[in-house]
Amino acid sequence: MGLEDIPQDFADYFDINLGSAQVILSIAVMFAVVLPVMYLAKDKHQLPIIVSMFLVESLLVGIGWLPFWILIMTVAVTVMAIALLGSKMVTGE
Amino acid sequence: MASELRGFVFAVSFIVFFSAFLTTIPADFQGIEQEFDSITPIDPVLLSGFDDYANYSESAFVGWPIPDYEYDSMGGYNWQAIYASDNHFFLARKVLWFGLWLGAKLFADFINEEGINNGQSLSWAEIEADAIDGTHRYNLELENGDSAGGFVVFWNITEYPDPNDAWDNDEFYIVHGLGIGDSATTNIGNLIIGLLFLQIPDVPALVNIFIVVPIWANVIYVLWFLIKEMIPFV
Repeated sequence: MGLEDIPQDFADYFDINLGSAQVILSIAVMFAVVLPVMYLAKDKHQLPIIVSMFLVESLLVGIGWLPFWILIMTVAVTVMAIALLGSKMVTGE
Repeated sequence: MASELRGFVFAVSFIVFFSAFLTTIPADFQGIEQEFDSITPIDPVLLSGFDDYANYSESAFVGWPIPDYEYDSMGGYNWQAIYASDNHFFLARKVLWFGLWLGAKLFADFINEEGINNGQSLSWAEIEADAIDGTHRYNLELENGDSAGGFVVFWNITEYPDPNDAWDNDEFYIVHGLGIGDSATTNIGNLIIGLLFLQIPDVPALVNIFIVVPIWANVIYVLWFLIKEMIPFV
């Protein structure tokens, strides 16, 4: 059984659809990695949290558990945060 | 004024960083290789490496006097296969202008496995000469030098020894596929234009709209700010 097949087996076992199984498993994997990083970062450093989130999400998209557009959405949200901080720094407001 | 400037800096930063970040996403993330489950079985080696594909046969070609078959969004591009009345195949990629096709197209050269270029048309004689055991895979190269993927023809699973007979009986099969490296979305320009015009394949329209609204809003804001700054009396 390959990594790509796990959501299908999960969905069959719990009798849910494949999309739901992919989301549930992806959230579990994300939390397993990002929560410890958040704890270690202790609200002081956001960069490791963002980087770890991107890495896990890329892994999940790469193995086919999450659709590609999730990554685009994450990029858009991250860029929005960067642009907000950047404009604040440039204009001093 | 300062808040407008802040808005301008935000909009420019958003557009620049979003474009820059998108280029860092590997094209391979756009989908794992598809299974060929909808066509008649054939040697899988001939079909390997395709990220997206279209398969068709004689019945797909419609029109008179020159039958053609148009298939859109294969590998992020739109295509037209033509079967000319002098028994030649042609394959072209449609050239879109802001999402619209005005008739422009780029024809592909059919290059056989030995590397011999058959030109922009493929005849039955050339197919018979190139094929071994009723199958052959051509590489396609467009007029502008871009790859148009692979063009697999096969009729070995039928009772017809002659490809032309197989074609007449709708049992001459064609698979046109693009590899991951050939698909349109590896090009950042096409990816961004696809996003802006809601043409990204495999993305739900609502999600695409959700992503694209802030981009359009920022583009419009930047344009408005620049125009406003250039006209002194506004």
